[in-house]
Amino acid sequence: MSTMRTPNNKSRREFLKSSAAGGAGLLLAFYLPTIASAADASEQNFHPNAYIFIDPQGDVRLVVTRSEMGQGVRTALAMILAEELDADWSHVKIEQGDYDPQYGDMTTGGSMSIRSTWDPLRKAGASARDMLLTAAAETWNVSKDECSATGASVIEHKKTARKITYGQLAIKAASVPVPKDVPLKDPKDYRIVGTKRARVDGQHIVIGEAHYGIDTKVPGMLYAVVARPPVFGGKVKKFDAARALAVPGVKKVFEVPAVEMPPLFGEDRKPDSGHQHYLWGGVAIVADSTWQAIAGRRALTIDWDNGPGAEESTEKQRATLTELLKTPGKELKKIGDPDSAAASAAKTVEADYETPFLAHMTMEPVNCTASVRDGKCEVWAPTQNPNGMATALASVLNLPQSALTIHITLIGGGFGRRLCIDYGVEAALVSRAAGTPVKVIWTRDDDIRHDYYRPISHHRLRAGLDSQGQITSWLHHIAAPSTDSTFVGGEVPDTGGTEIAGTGLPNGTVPNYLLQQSFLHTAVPRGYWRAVDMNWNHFAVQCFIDEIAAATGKDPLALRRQLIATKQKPAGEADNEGDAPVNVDRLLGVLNLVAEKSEWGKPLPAGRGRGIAGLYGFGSYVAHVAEVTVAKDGTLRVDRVVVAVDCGQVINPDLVAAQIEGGVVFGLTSALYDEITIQNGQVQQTNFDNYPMLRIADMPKVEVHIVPSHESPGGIGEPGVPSTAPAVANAIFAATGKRLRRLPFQTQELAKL
Amino acid sequence: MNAISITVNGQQHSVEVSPDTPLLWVLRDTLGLTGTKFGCGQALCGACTVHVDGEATRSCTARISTVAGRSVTTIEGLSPDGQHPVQQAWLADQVPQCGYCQVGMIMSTAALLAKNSAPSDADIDEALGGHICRCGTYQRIRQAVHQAAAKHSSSETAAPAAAVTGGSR
Repeated sequence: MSTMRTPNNKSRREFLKSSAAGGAGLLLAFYLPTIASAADASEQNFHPNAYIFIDPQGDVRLVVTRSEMGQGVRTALAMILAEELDADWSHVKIEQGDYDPQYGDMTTGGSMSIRSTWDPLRKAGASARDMLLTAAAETWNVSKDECSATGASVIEHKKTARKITYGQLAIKAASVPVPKDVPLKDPKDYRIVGTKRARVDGQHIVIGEAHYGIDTKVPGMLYAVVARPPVFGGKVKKFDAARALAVPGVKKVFEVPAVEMPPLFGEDRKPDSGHQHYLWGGVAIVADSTWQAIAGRRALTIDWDNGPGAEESTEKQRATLTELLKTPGKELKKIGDPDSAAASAAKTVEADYETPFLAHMTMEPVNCTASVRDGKCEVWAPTQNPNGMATALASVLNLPQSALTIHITLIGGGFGRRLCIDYGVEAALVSRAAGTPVKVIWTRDDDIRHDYYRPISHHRLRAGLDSQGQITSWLHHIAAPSTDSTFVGGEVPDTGGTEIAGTGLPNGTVPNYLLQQSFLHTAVPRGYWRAVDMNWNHFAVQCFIDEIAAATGKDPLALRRQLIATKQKPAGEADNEGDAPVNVDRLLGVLNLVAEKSEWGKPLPAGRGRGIAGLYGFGSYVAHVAEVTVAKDGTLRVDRVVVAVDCGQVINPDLVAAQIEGGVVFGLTSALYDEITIQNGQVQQTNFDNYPMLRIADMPKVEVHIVPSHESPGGIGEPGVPSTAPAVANAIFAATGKRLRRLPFQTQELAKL
Repeated sequence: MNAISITVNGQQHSVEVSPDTPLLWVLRDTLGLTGTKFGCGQALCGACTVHVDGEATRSCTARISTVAGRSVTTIEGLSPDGQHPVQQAWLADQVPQCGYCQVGMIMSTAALLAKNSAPSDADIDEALGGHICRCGTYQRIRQAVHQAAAKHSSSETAAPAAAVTGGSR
């Protein structure tokens, strides 16, 4: 991407205005494309969405247009820039960019941040360094070739032993034309990229000075909670505010209207799509403090119109999903002649798997602060999706984009929950009605009962084997509500869209293959939950590979190696749209590495077992081996999880390790504990007591082994999650001979009678 | 509403709130001390942990009337310079991810170490068993507690960039 320029006077002025440093200096605007918009990146279609600024004091500022939610994106993006710029790391400073349409897509999700910024950030850094070199050469009246960057924000002329700092060069460099096609560094020369660096925001966190969305305080602000319909799709029938208004500090009680919301990511949506993307409204209680608002809500009586959603229950949903698997689903992928191959198989292996609805449960509960007055809307939002929020605010408030200001705060855990924009729209409606700035806080109960849930799913897998035990046919039938359909309607796109990630490995490794999907209609809203559909599909597939291994007397690792080896090189499809095709050598590489590090094959005492699972997803290759102990009474303990990661070029190995460690915990929590259940159309879980999380005493030893690589960086936030549950399920089988095919694991089945 | 007197980080405050108000909301909404976090409201996650007379206490369920006249320490008052050994260990081991739960973890750890200078793994499980980290940093937390206990302050990580500014903090 050579789309780079010095910004026009207006944006430069605006930048300077917003920059604490002020003053003149080198300012370079550059374009950070995302996958969706990369094709449009051209001089004609230029929208700068990040800035480098070098001031005369030598500070290098980077405006980050991604959201920090613990993945270390601010640190990593700064490292990439500082590397090519040859900047002094201690002089690199990060500023969080507010939402601005000229930045393009600011979405933080899909483990995309590094992948989408790696090239443009390096090019921006290299171009800025080149401009500084030009300025130095002109200053000294020497050849530019004789000048070099020292790596400490200094240019030197070795012949004459002269040195000059970036700060001293900043103003002169600003008048140098932006060069084209500046060569990037050879990875062997990296000083920052690939090294362990402390998080730029760590100090603020440990002293309690990190300000999350929930910490927002603006002048004149009041606090609010909202009573929302307990049943999905329900509405307020009537309410009596008298007792709530009698609570000291309660200022106002009013109905929040139900409103239709646009799609999250600018997708097309037909008028009759049947989508479920609505804010269902409720009753807002606005008070002088959070506690008074909560007390006011307790005193409020509301009559709800529950609607048809009240008929739903988990029991009925599970029965429907079981029924759906009995008749063929919509065909999403077909290779060869799976029906004939299945009919002529010498042996058939079949198994059903199921996973539940799950909530995100970010530690910072959902919240948003908004000020809607005088035809303007300003919000302080812990959001992963500023663009989607802007679209929704403009649409619901009937305001032009120019009337919107969205401050993107630090986020206390995202995991996909904050790709949804409901809470921002709601806060804006509450502020507009209250006539003051308002912080709407969701209690934990609000948060868990009004989420966009990882969908429930059932799976049937059936493999036909020949007389030698080779797999000749493979059926995977998924029954689930679609995630995307919540927002755009419809059932399942012809290709399966984003709903089939994790089904990929056997596809292309067996001669006859069939992937089907059946759709469950439900009022329960579905959303994007860390690693999304790769979780449930991968669980079924990776467990089933083990079942085939057991049925054919093969070692689970050996069978995987054999399957992968048959996958055509370099053909093979990516599980996710936009990802490169699978590289079988890299997939084999992580399986072999995890096997070596986990001492795969080394005997374990009775009651203990190892299980393996591996994936290609989000541009990375990750394999897990879990080691478990199952006691006679069925008590399960996960002792150790060894993970091998090939995510291409590593920016910061400590951030990679942290994301994998966290991914394992996220996967374990879902495997061991959690299930959102529905009764009378309502979520039954209310807090961490009935939706538990893995805690410190149950933390296994997690070891992360990274494959050295200079391939393009892959994603790292999500791919550590999906293999966790199947690796543990496979380890349980190895330890006990018992298959657990339902998440969360029903460990009572492991007790020896 | 009568004024209730509490001491927070050595400073005496008189707050006019309903006596059933949890300490958490007095700290956050009334006194503006937002370092203490709201996580669950039912003493189930530990994010709101502060010290009351030196004891790790869940401020989300501690009614203000029960802490009247007592001494409360929040993260803002844990150390004058942000250099408490627990804070140093947390940075040295790069514990935080999103960081939201870490203040509570740090406060509980500081209270633990004040009583037990060499906690065992079981002691750590007990002291931090009431805390939840959704990002899954437990392995590093355990390491950091031991490190803080040993007053081992070496860091293999390079110094961070000097500051994060703007709306980012």
